[in-house]
Amino acid sequence: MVFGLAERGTATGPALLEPASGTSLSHAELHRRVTGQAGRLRDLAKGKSLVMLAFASDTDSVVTYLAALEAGLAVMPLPPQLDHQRLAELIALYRPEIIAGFPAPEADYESAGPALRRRGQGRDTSIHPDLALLLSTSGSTGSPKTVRLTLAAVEANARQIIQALEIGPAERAPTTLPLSYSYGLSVLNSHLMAGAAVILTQEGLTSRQLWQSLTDYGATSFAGVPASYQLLCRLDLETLAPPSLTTLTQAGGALAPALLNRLRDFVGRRGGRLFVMYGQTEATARMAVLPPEDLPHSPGAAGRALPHGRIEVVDDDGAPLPATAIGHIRYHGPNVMMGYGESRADVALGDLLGGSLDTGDLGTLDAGGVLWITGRHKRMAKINGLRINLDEVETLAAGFGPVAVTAGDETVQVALVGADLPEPEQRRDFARRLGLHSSQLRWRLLGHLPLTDHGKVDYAALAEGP
Amino acid sequence: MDKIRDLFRESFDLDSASAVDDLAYRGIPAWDSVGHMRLVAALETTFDIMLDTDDVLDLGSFAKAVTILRKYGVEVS
Repeated sequence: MVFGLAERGTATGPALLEPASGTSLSHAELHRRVTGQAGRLRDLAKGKSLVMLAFASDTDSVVTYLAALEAGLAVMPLPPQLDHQRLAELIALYRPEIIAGFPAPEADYESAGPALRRRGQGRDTSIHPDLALLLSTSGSTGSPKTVRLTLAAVEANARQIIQALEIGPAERAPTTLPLSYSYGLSVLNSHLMAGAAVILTQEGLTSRQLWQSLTDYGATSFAGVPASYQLLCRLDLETLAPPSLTTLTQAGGALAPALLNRLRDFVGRRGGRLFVMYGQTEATARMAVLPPEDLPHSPGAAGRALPHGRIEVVDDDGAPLPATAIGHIRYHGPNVMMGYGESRADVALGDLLGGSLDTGDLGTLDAGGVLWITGRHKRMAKINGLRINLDEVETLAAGFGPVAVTAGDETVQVALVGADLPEPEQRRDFARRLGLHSSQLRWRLLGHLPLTDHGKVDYAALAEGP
Repeated sequence: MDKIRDLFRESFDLDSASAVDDLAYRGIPAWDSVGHMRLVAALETTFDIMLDTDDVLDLGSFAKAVTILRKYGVEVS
């Protein structure tokens, strides 16, 4: 069974703990619930189908997720709070046969036991047999661009993470990140596979209930992006975090050195460990981990390739570069995606990458084999640990006039040709659409967009800015 | 009081006319943990105070914010 659940079919240790309802599911009970739900989904699906899932951090959602994988279906997890318009757009693009956890959209779907089923008998574009997971490339906004993953890749990455972080059955990890986000999902997958427990909570980091649950349920680890840790360091972590919490993991962008030191000191005082990690949804979740013993002399590094993974730095033509040279970061491993998906037509596609991923990041391997990120090649901004595709933003902003979008420091810079900026209300709405606060979108007016010799927008010139 | 209302509106990207007196943590999508810390920072900067952890966690509604600010000696009329 998926994530080796059957191997622990009689294990009485907890798998899922849900503080809000007080329910607890052992690995044996989880195995039984998943088996039952997989049967129901199989009956409902009648063949390989796409399941769109509102992935809340609760027991029912996790059971449905595991059951869909177990039934051999393809799952597309989405944030449960996704707004109706974005959900409708995604449904129109991917035409899922089954929708679980979201209210029925219009009349195209009918209630059928555990989920909603698309009306009509005709089958859609057939789904590649190996496709198990379609993950949005940007967790919060439900970007239409997805990453196509096989179950083998998802399980391989879970195993790699278990090895690198030495996750044992006694661990209890809270869901401090959304399960529709690759990093948050990797916490669930790796802990279930390790026979450990996951504390399912939807509470935010500034909720007293979250910290109470972490104490009551003996949380042993905490997963966060830079924004999570910036927030934690503003609070009295020493008092809030229960003594059982001894492992911190951090990914989703570089953390400021001062903050890294503070967190290292914090876990150090309780004999714990801080793992800095590097990953992308394109590689299921994780590609590298910086072992805690490397952290003191390599603060700011991205880490070493996971077991069974390999990182190389290559030049513009793809030829490998020697240590300490800066170039494009390539990752090879069993956890690399099959390729991207942009609509229903793409779910039929097989593996286009052969286990080799151009990360779009620039960096260097030092003499000791540790990876350092120096910049980005692809047009992406990173805000609160989430990636914002600048070309997508540009397309969405085109309604305001000729526009070019670049990345700033935790901001998206919108350069607009025209006499006036959009009204504040429009700017707020636009930011909300991207899942941002209006202060994270910086607008400016230009007389014209700078162009390169080839007549394309000169983003480098824009980034330097006036 | 109006100053506090404005800080709530700025922190959560709300219209200048929108009612905020009944807002509570996670009652609107913008008041998540990131929005919460944005509000805390705005209150601290504007009133030149430093909230302790308990007050940061207890600041769960507009009404609660007013109570907490009073505790820090902020004049709320």
